[in-house]
Formats: sequence, C-alpha cells, structure tokens
Amino acid sequence: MRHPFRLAALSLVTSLYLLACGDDEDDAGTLTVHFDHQIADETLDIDAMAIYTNAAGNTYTVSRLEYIVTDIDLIRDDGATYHLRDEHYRNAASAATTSFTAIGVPAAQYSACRFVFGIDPARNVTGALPNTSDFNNMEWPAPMGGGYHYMRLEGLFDDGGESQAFLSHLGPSGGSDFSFVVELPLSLHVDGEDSEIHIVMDVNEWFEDPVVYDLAGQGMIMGNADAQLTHQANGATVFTVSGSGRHDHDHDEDDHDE
Amino acid sequence: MTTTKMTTTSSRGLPALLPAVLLLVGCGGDDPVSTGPDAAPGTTSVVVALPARFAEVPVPADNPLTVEGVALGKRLFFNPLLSVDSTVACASCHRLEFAFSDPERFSQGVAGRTSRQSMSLANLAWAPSLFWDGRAESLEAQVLQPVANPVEMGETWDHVEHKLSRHAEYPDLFEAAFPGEPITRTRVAQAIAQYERTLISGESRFDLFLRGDVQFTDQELLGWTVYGTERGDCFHCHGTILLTDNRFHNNGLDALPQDPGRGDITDIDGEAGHFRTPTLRNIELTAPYMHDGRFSTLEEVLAHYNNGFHRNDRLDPLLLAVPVKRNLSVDEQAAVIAFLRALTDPGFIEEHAQ
Repeated sequence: MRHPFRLAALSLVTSLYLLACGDDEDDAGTLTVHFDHQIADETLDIDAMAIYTNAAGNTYTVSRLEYIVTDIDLIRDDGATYHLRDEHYRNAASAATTSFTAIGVPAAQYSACRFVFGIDPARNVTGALPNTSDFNNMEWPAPMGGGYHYMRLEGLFDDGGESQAFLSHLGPSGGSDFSFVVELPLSLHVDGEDSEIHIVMDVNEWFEDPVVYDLAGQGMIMGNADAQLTHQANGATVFTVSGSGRHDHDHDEDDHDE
Repeated sequence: MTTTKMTTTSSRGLPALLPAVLLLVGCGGDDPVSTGPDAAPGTTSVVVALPARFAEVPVPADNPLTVEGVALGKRLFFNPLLSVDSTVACASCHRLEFAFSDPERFSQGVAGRTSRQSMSLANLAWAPSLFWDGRAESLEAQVLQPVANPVEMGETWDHVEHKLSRHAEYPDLFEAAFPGEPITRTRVAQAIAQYERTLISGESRFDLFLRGDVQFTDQELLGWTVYGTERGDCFHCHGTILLTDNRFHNNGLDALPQDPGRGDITDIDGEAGHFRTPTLRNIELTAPYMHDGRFSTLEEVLAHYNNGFHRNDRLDPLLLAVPVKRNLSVDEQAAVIAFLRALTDPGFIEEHAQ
C-alpha cells in the first residue's frame, strides 16, 4: 500500500508540473546510494574467504576492501548538477557503511551519477575529512606525506603454491594524484518518493582492463607508483550503476495494488 | 595546556568528590569538547575536553556522562566488593600505575589465573568492541562479564546488588547518579562504563611533538619515520590518533593459532587467531605484551615483527607482504622503541591517581 501505482503516477504528473513551474521543493525525493562489490558475477564475500580468479589467472581471496569516494553528484538531463554528499567511506566488512541517504533531492530526471574515486589533492591533507575512526584509520602518517588512502584492497593470492599478499593501496604518493572521476550514465527519476541506486565495484576490473595486472611478482602494490598508475587507468571500468529509482526496483512493493 | 586533566582526589564519598570532579567541567578552553546526551534531572553533565584531533566521545543515549555517575563508577572500579571474597577489584588487574594493565602475564583472580593478558584501559570510549576477542560490544556489556567469571571475580550479580543495596554509602551514591532508580547490575555497569569513558590519554610527548610544542630527538624522529612509513609499517594497524585501528588481526604469533581469539566469537574461519589491536599509548607501561603476554619487553615485540612472525593462512596480508622479514637494523629497532616510549602520557596516570 505504500506505493500504489495510481498515486505514483499522480505524483509523477505533479512533479513534472511543479518542475515546469520551477517549484519542485514540495516533491523533493529521498535517494539512497548503495555501494556494492562483486567479482565477475559473484557478490564479494569477505567473511567466507571465497576464492576468486582474475584476468591474469591469479586465484585470490579478499580480506579487506575499504575506500573513500568524494564529491558525489547527480547530473540532470540538461547538464545541471545536484550535489548529494561531500564524501562517503565504504568498508565491505561493515554493514553500517553500505549506503548513504540524501534527502531533499530535487524532483527531476537525472541522467548520470558522478563522483571522485579518492580525494582531490587539494583536500587530501590530514584532518580534512570528518573526524571519525573510519576516516582516521585511512590516514597516512606525516612521514608518508599525510592525507588519506583512497582505497585499501588487500588479500592473499596463490603464488606458485604459496600464499602471498597483495595490497592494492591507492593514495597520494610522492606528489602524484591517483584519484579519478567516475561518471556513470543512468536513468533516474526522482519525485516525492524514495529512490535508490546501486554503485557496483567489480574488484576484478582493477586487475584487468585495459592493463592485465599479474599479482605474481608484484603483489606489493602499496608504495609502488607504477602499480597505482595501472590501477588508476583500470579504474575507468571498475564501476557500474544499477537501479534507476523506484520505478526499476522494489517491484514487489509497487505491484501490490496493480 | 588546556586539555582535560581530571583531578579526582578521593573516592571516600560524594561530598569529598564533587568539588574535584567539577573541575573537569568546562575547562576545555578552545579545545574541542564533547557533550553527550542530556543528563537526568538532578545530575550534572560532564563536558569532556578532548586532546587535539580526538573525535567527540561517543556516549550511549541511555547512559549520559554525569559527574555523579563517573564518581560512582570510579569508586566501584576500585572496590573489591564486586568480587565474591572481596579480594579482587577491577583495579586489581587494571592497575593505574601500569596504565590500567597488569604486569603479571596472567592476572590473579579469586580462583586462579586468567587465560589472557590484562588489556590497558585508555580511550575505550572509541572502541567499538572490548576484550581481546571483541566479544562485548559496549563498555556496559563488558563490565558484566568479569564479575560473574568464576576465575576473575567469581561473584553473582544478584549478590552484588544485595551487597550494594545494604551498604552504608552506596545507596546514596546510586541515588545521586541514577535518581529514583533501584540498584541493579545495569546501573553498576553504566557507572563503571561512564568512568572508563573519562580515561582519555592524549597528552604524550608524541602529541606535544605533533603540536609543535616539543622537538623529537633524532632517534625519536627516525623511530617515527620507520613507524609511520612502509619501512616498519606499524601505522596501518596502530593508526595515528588512537594508535590502534580497534580492529582484529592475525599477527603471526603462531603457525597454528593456539587461541582462536576473534574466530571463536564470529565463527568465521578466516578470523582464527585474530585479536583486537591494542593501543600503543602508554605501551612502555603495559608489559608484558600480546594477548598471552608472551613478550616481556618491547625489544622482543620488535624482534617478532621484524623477523620473527610465522606464516599462516590467516596472517594479515600487511605482514606477509613484507616478504616475511623486515630486516630493520639494530638502530632502527632502537629508534622505534624510543618512539614508542614517547607515547607514554604521565599526566594520564597522575590525573587518575586516587
């Protein structure tokens, strides 16, 4: 009963009307942005120590995946942007970090979601991010130049029969900037109802496209600027977005009254 | 210096305590202060002044920090009445002069010795879980366990409640802290948890160095560099503010874990032999080291991380990635230890002395 179809349709008409009249405040919506992780077609399961295979043929487990995205915006059809959030910390092992919810998102048709994977260098200085344990645990100490890791992706891989570690740490390094902008096309209609989107990271893509990255012999990505460049280049295909607002999900709920 | 220094001078009763405890209210100057949820009518809110860069103290909505609650919690913490034969207090195994830890490898309880080393108590307000294995998810939940543990304090909570209720002074102290509420184990736990939230250590020589108030020696600087870069790679687990990530790791103490640690709590195979990262604040005072107290000195700890840890399937990848040996020089190891000694906060010990 929460989203009867007729009401939804009515609200759509109303929001279009209000948008046309330049007054969409009453129909502002709530948008929940989820950050999910998969490897190939499987959902990443850190607890299970599941074994995955990357493009180079390395078999590996993931024991840690945490990262920071910043400047998260929605882009409207006409190119105007709406700023959702300054930063979000995600830890694949922490359910509390799965998503954030933005309220008061103006009713509109949005055609893309954009964010920075990592942190703009001007802002990547110690103490610039919110003072929480999650962000603070991502810090680089002063002897490392300060600022924050963008990502810590860690695990073990089979290196000729022996477990070896890989540490895909991205962050500021020797004055270089390894952050990058991700822009994902979507079709999202926001009106007065709740909407959600899922931003999905495919972990294998960090090691695959365009550069196949063989963990064997170069697992120590941490502290290796060339490896960080590879990850930055491969980052363009790491993310996809699914879900286009409430009309494309929660069908069970929407369909009850049809 | 404007950060909090709480000066309690006596635990003999409320009248003696109040003036001293009140000093901690509103002495923060320009420092960030932390206020919790509103205190109950008739109680006095505590405003905690924080060391630089410390986040606001997380306080549960149902257990605001009050002057009366902290005072009661402190008294209970030091009182052996909570044990079955009145021989063991919280403070017996969490000894102030050792930064609230125990120099004994395993602590002496009412009926034998514990099986893990006593953890030091500092900055626990920010710890999302307590004990080496994280089995308590709040300070309030943690307090309930040692009292009823047959080895540690061996007492029943029913009997604790009974003893406190007919005590000459405690009923008034509980009434002051929790007006109109009966004396229950929940209130005991809340009071002790309040006291523990005020055990904040953030005024070490390292903190003064970060603020530019003192200069490090060349050796301390080298130690900080080894610690805070991938050379020693201490910082990934031992952070830069709390000096712990408050998470769980297998640090290669054994090829096959002798104590499942976190794995026993979560039933996650990959977490066998994982233990909570202890803070390195006051580490000089908290020997012996590791969950089983196997190392007596910081030199032994450094030797472990340098070349001594064991490969195992659940070893933290950060350790494994160091190609099993760090090969820090003798000078580098000594420098790291000099840095660790700069994490001692003498004022922390002084301010909480009875």
